[in-house]
Amino acid sequence: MTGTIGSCILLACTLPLAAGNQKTTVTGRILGEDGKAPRRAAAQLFDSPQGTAIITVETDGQGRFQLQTDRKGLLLLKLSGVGHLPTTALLPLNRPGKISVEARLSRPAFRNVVWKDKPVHVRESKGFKQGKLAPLTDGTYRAEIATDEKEPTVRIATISTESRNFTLDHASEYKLVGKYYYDISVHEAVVRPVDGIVRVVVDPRKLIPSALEPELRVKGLGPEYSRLQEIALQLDRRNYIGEDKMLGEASLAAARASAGKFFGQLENELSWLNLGASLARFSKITADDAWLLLSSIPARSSVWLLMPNLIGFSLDQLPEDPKWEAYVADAAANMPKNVRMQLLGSRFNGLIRRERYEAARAIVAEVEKLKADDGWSRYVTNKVGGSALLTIPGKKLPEFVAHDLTNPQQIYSHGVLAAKARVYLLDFWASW
Amino acid sequence: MRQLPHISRVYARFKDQGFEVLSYALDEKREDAVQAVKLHNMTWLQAIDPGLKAFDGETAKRLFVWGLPTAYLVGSDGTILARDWQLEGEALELRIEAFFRSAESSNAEN
Repeated sequence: MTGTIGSCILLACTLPLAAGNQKTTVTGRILGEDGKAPRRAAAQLFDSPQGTAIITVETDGQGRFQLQTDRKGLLLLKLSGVGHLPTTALLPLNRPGKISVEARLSRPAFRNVVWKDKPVHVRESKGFKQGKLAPLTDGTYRAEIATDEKEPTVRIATISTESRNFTLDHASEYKLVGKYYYDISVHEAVVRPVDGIVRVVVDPRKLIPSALEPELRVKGLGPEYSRLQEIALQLDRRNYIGEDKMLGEASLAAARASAGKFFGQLENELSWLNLGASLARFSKITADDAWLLLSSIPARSSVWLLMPNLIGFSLDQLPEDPKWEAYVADAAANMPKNVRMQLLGSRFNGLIRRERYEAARAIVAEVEKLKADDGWSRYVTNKVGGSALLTIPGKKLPEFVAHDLTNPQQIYSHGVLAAKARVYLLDFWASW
Repeated sequence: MRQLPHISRVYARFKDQGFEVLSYALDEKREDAVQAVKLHNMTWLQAIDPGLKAFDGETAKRLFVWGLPTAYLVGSDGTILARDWQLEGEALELRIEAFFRSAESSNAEN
């Protein structure tokens, strides 16, 4: 194959589909950190993000692969290569098409790994067989486990507290490679035993810390993807150079994983939720970041309402922006009644936060007109319609009686508190 | 809960000048709230609904507690001086500080 054709594949040389072809074709190339094809590499397509592999193809000598599927929905593509960390991308496949993928994998980094006596499991149809890694005089660690299965799953449990993200590669002799960071405790791979024996070999001296971040480019899923990918990376770059290098690395890795999950935003809300969850876990996000992210989510998507919660912001805490006003107006006009109610409630909260009580009052009328009766609507109707404007600063606090936490006979009312203090804070809270 | 460190600090600073805090737990298990009060060293006044009805309790309803955060800063005449959205984080301390500063200056004028 010539270089020209090769780069045509890499650059998403999208060919028109033959009429009647209902399959999605995924072509791609897997390269190692040095820019060359790994000795062996494979692409695996899973039927869902947590699902099982439905197609596994190995790459050719140049690291190229092609696979076809007529499955629809949110599929996961995993790309792995000998001596490298695998990378994954979510593929929302909703119509036939042609997708191209280019991955440059990174080598694993590791430190303080404890190998001795760590368990290695081989999963068979009858259950698990277990072996342990034992040190050899040549500096490597080995486990050998006999199996009757042709393609069992081999799993290596957590290696040490600092070195948790491990994988088995697709070598003929199955070597363990790994990268430390906080999260994932177990890795596994499907292997092909030689003479009924699975041999797991760990050679710590050959594990070279990675200098590069993995790269993954996917084409054929629409222009929105690249924009969103940029946003995710932008959000997390800053965290990467934050005070905690280790956390920064983890968050960068998470952002990259999230960027892979960006694909589906238009048709697949799950991707957005995954992204939000990742960012919520790893990122320190400012209101401006949140707005940047939110303003990229398609209008009228219910995810738009969930994202702020996931990333730790309420809609009503977002900065004031004409775009936001327009967005809410559009969404409020076109969304189902309960969602509309939520938007109005959020808008109302935003206005009272900014002490724009008159503008908030105008929303009360709108909410009352909707007269919806689900749980959320009741909340909004109660709060917006009934109470919030009655208890803004300057109003009198309604009379109340509160009972002491450990001695319910002890009563606190405004009278009791005013006798003790010139000013008091009545703060509602919960231990959960 | 996010507000707790701020409340602790402000309470320690102003309790002797006439500032009081009543924390009202919306827990459904008394023990949960008691443990949290100990854990976070909340040394001020603590209350809970006697029927442990949380948001459905009489007091929560009377004071329009539909969600968290809900907080009222109240003057001795019963006027609401500030709400939770004006008391977040450092803002609580600034408000209380301003209250006592203006109280002092009006005392001086009299």
